[in-house]
Amino acid sequence: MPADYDAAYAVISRLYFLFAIGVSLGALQVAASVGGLRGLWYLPTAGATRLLGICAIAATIVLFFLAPIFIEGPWAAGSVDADSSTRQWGRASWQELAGAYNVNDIDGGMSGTAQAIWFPAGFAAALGLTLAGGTLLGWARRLNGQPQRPEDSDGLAALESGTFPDAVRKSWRAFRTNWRAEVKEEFRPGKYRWSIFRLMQPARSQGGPGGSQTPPSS
Amino acid sequence: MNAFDREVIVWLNGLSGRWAVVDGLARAVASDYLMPIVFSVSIVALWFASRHRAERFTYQMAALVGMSAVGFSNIAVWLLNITWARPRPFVPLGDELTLLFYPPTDPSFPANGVAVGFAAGSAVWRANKTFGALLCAGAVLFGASRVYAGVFWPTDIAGGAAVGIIVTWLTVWLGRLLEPLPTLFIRLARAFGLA
Repeated sequence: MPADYDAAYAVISRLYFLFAIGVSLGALQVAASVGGLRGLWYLPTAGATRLLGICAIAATIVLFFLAPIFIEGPWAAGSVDADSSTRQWGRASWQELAGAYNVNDIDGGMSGTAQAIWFPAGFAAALGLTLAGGTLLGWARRLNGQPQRPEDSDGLAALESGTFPDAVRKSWRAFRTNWRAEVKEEFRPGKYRWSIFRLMQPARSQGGPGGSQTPPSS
Repeated sequence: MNAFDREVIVWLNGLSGRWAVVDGLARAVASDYLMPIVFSVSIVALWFASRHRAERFTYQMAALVGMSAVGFSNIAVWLLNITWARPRPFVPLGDELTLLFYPPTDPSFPANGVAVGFAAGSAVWRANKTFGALLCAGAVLFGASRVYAGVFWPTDIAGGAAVGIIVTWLTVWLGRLLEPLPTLFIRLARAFGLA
């Protein structure tokens, strides 16, 4: 049976969504291990977390490209060649596996726009899983939420010593206390040399040194 | 079609069909899914990968620039596509090429995926030179695999790289013009424990 557009798109987009989740989960574990964000780690040490992340990325890539062997789609054995408009529905053969996903978007493959929708969805799901899993495992490991440096008490830095709920609580409290002063500081005349907002300020308040990007004060 | 483009693609594509493993790897790397997701996930992972507050701000600003530059690169490629509908190599060269990839129906210049890769790579390079260079190398590999597969001219790859780098540079300047909005966005994300 020839592959029709809707069925082909449905199977490829579902597999791509799972691919995005798996790769993002692994990348988040690697990034959290580099950043020392213990509240996101799935394993107790940075090295083990990084290894887990790398294995998750590699396993997801392998599973994604092997999936046409096990799952029916527009890649039936014998129909996978350079022209994706002649694809039949079924399972791929080992010999044709590498080209199985090379399906034009007019034949049911994913366009750049479709990927721009499905990738953020997959990353958001992976981030949710990372935050939830890291929180549960952080509670199990009894992360104490006490930062080693005072300036690391809010934002992602709070995840170095605490769980995500701890980080949100501290971050929101700090934000509510400081946001007016921070906004005022960011709009201070002369802070950003090239900002269009500088043009909107009264002439007497323009000028002065500045122009460099500085991190927001805590 | 210029002589350089013709000679390079005929030589590179002529290597296909000799080693099944190389052809399989080229098909996987040239696919619409592998390298684009590597570029995308690298940018978003950068958001979380810094070791202290000052580095965190630099990385997150680079991630914001990267995400925006990837979007703007797609717009730039589309504008160039509607300006110059360059035919794909397999149209004029026909039987001289062995296609390893489906024949795309959109114009050839510039290579969209390479533009995205270089946009991501040059944005990341501003924060971490090694990681940015690796992404740019990945974009070159992606482009080379598509030339090998017979669907892009070599100058499409160069054009895609130029588009990615120029768009990232313009995005950095757009960010400077819009300050302090990007900084306040990061500050707002920090209020929710995410920056």
